[in-house]
Amino acid sequence: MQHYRSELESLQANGSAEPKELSALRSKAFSRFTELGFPTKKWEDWQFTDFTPFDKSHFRMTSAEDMQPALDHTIEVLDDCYSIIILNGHFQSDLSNLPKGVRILTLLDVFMKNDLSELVHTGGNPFVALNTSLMNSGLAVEITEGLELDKPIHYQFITTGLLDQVMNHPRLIIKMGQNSSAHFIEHYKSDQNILYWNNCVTVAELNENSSLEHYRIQEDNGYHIDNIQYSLKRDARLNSVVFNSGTPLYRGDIHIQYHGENGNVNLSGLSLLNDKQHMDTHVIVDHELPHCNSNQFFKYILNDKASGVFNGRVIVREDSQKTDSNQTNKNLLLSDKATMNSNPQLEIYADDVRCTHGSTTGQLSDEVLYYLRSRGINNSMAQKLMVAGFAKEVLANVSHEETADYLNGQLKDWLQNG
Amino acid sequence: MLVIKNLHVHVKDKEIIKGIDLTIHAGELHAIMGRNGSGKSTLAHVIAGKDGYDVDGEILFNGNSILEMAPEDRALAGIFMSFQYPVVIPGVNNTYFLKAALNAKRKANGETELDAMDFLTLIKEKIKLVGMDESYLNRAVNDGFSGGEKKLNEILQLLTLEPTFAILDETDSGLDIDAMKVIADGINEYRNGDRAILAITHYQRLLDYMKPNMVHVMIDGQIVKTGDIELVYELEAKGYSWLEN
Repeated sequence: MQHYRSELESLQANGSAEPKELSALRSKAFSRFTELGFPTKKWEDWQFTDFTPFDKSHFRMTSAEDMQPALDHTIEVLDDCYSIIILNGHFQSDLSNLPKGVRILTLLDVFMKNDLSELVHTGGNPFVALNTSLMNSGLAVEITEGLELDKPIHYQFITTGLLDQVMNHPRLIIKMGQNSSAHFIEHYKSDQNILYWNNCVTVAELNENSSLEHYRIQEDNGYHIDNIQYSLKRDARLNSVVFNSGTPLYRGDIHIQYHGENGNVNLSGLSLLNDKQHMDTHVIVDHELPHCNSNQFFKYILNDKASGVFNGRVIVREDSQKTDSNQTNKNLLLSDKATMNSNPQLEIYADDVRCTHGSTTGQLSDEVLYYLRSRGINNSMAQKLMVAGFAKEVLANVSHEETADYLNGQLKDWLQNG
Repeated sequence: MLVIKNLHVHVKDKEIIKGIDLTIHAGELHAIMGRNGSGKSTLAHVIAGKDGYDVDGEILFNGNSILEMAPEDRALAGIFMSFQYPVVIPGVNNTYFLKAALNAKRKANGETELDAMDFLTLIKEKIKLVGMDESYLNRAVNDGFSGGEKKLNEILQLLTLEPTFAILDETDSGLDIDAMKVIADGINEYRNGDRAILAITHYQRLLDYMKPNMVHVMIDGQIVKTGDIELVYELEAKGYSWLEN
């Protein structure tokens, strides 16, 4: 804990250009963080994940010096996309390209408009408090009212060329103007062998009748924590797909809030784990208003000694009549030593609603395997075909063809090497 | 082509097949009839290579013992089984599956694998033979297919993979008359002097279309009677009980 305090103090000392109010916000958030501490086994919603590595490790904040070695990194952008590049936490405006109607603001700009703190709900999440306290990276992307983006924005957060263990606390804000629509690919990746930590907070605000396709691709090699908060105003539509294959240790929280009727949310996720990887996803969909839909479809594929956690909670409050909510979690264990904890929760306080939930965890079906083999497909290939089929049901939610191709390619590599 | 000698099969401690001898030559179609639970499907799965059976006796395919062979190796040697209950394979595209199966066979035979375009041309020809809409090619294997569509998909595989020996395990059950005609036409399309079929069925109708060379009746794990198509009509009239004991 002391280590993080000294990181905050040096950030505040070096950031003399920052307004006092921002420094005060950091200190306040840090107090909240120390109040909470890192989660322990006694915290119900965090009990299946070991967070002691964060207390034990001494990640330092990235600095301007970390930029130099990163500049050699070859940057690949998905075909047919606009681009935002962040290298070791630093936004690269010269490597980025954005169309008219898409505005980028620094966090300082956002803060000066005074709506940085009100956008984020820390709740009891110490990682969000720490992010607010140490946020050193990130930006706000605003899509102008009525703009229908012709191509996706590919936001890449690249960690490369490190000499020692660093951490970043990026904050990404996506603001969809009224009647706008966009695809946003939020992509974390790295070629690093040195351990590092990304503690991310992403806030997406969907204004009236806007439509966001949000693909979050997590291929970090270091620890990765994320907290995604979506809020939807009237008639807004969200299709969110998370793809997790990197990181030894992952915790992701997704929180949906409706601020208007007729919001439509489709959430899906695919997590690929091997070795001793651990991934923990918590989803909260809070139906506070009537006539809103939510659909959750999350899958894990676990090999070796990997472990996974899925906790999906749907709350349908008293006045939320005509809510339509589905939640499915399916997990595939490819090894006897892999484990999965799945806990779908449904809390319904309204009577005129349609809600379903279900969870299954199992191994590859012997019947299907035999069927494929009886067609001359060998055991190993039959298994790969089945695993790929299991995964593809999630990737079918990615409507942007190049992104879907990229993810199918990553899946194929994982199957070959994993 | 297929020679079965003194076959006994146990599942756990229960004897399901109690000594079967059967010889099927190239060009022949043999039918096996019998009540549910008489061991017909077990016989089919034992030939196809399913796990979980204790098998004694011999099964020779083109002179080679197959009992130690994996199911995929039996398939590559030319054995095919149309499943009574074809499985659903979520997320696995039907075309992709059929192409993987055909290319596995081509590779084993030392032929070049077909690319996506060539395969598509081929499969569009084959699917016409079973009267299925091309949209079924883009769906996951058997996912959301009706009972009859699943059976047609089995026949599509038969016509695509062109094995030398086909086991049809109740391919006619659950079909209406029109669908049965399509299935029978598909099977007759497949038949020639180099190929053989073992058809397991409860019904006379499919056999009317297919004209079996021999008909066997299985009761309690044994073949108790063998005859020609006349035996089918006799069974239709008299049932199975006169053959018991």
